[in-house]
Amino acid sequence: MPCPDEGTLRAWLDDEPSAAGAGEHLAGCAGCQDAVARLRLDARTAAHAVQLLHPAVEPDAEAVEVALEHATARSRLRAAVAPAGARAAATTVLPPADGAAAATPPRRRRGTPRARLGAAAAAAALALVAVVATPAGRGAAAAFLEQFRSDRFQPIEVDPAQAEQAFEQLDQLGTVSGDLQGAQPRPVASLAEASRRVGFTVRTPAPASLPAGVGGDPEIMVSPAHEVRFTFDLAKARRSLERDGRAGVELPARFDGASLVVSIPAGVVLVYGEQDLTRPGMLVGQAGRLRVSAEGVSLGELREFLLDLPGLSDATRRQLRAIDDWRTTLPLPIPAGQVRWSRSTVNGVEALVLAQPGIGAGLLWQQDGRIYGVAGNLPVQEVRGVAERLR
Amino acid sequence: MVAPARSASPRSAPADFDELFRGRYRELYSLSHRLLGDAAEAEDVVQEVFWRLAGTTMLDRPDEEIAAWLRRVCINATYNRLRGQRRAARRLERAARLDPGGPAEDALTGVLRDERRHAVRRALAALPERQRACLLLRHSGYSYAEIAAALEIATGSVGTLLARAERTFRHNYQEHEDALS
Repeated sequence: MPCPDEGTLRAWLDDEPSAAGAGEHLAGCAGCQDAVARLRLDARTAAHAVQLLHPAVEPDAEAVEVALEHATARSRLRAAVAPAGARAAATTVLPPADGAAAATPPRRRRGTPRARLGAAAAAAALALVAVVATPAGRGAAAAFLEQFRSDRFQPIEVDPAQAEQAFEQLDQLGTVSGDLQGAQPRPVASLAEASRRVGFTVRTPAPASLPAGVGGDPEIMVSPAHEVRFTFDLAKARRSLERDGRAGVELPARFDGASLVVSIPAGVVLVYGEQDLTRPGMLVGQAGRLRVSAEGVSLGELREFLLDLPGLSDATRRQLRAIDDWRTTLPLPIPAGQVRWSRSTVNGVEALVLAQPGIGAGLLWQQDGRIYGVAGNLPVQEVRGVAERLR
Repeated sequence: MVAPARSASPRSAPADFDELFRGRYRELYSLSHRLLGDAAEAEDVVQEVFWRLAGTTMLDRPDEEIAAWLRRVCINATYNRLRGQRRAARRLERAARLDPGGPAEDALTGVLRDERRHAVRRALAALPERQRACLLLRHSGYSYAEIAAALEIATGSVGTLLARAERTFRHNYQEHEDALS
């Protein structure tokens, strides 16, 4: 019998049944005995070392329950946040362009046709992300955010679980990359500093417009501009679809390597009040425009392609298809049956009103190339009062 | 199109989710904690893992598949966190300090233990990802089959990967040890 390979000898040390045959050979092979001695030493060193890393304290039953509560709150939040953020922009609909880009019919080209999202979701997303990213704000803000997730120029009613799945599916179809860690909102000391970081003058509510109990200096959170990129991988997508029993889905080869690039603008969020849902709290978010571009294929083609993929419900697909001017409209997935939305204006500019009865309200609008959002666990009129008096 | 199975019965999911969470939390926490050395961060990672689980169709799969998925995603999420921390070395030092060996230790034992732990994490950090995961899983008590499932490799390849990982690890680790003494 020839000498077993190193992997087999290592497995033999661990009594793996598949390597049982090596024992017989070992008895008569000095070379393999030496090899096993070395492997054993390596294994013992590693075992001893990893032993040192065992946590000194394991979580007890109560800690597990607390963690479960956090995780549940977070899942709900994620369902709310993800659709509003870039991930969902990439998943669900595609991207808008405006101005000249919108006037140009989609055509195939390489390079980066830059398209702008003419929609308001980014501010909401940033606001939500800011709170989610603040440890103190995480659990407490969950319900508060429920109503804020739902804003956008074209609300699309979805099953929240499905919006989540859409993102998970992206992972199966290619790679999602981007510096999401570095893009986390961070507190800054002053409005001047915030303005410098985001590149525009941050507006603040008039003190007299602040609802009772919401006064005081806000916490100022800034998140830097960053890019999230989804690159389609034909082979990976095929494997994934085959696994799911959908080998029949057509995947044109020319989409291999095509990318969808979502540029998320720098944003600032002013957090007023306690991060505690029993007291009034409010968020004022401001950001530049979200941009989406495609590389390798045109946005229009990529949109068609993604809309045809399995994973979206027929209802969602229908709503997305119904958007005529998709280049300037960012669809906003809202949890069906949970959030009410309506159209209104803020100082004469079109705005979306989102309300979750008993929890709070939010307003989202766009002005001068920027996206604004105000939301709180407050009545709509009070949110509006703040929104109309930003300065 | 065929709707994902889970959306057909979204109501049954939460109970399964809670049960899974309770059943797997400690295991995943320990796994993540070994690499991060920080209780709060480990908790955060595990929550992130379950948070992702809730959005997938994994809940409909058999238990072993879910477990393998959870371990894989947990390890990846832990690495992501380690990577996200630019000055990894600094980070590791902090981790070593934050990770007391237990109340009964005297100061000197504590210091030595911290140094060791620090050296272990450093040596692990220098391994290629797959090797690191393989070594960590094996010495955390996982079987070859479980490791293979978590890393999406053939069971027959575990021994080879492990042998390589342990050799490199010992080499790295002993360099640190030598430097200490």
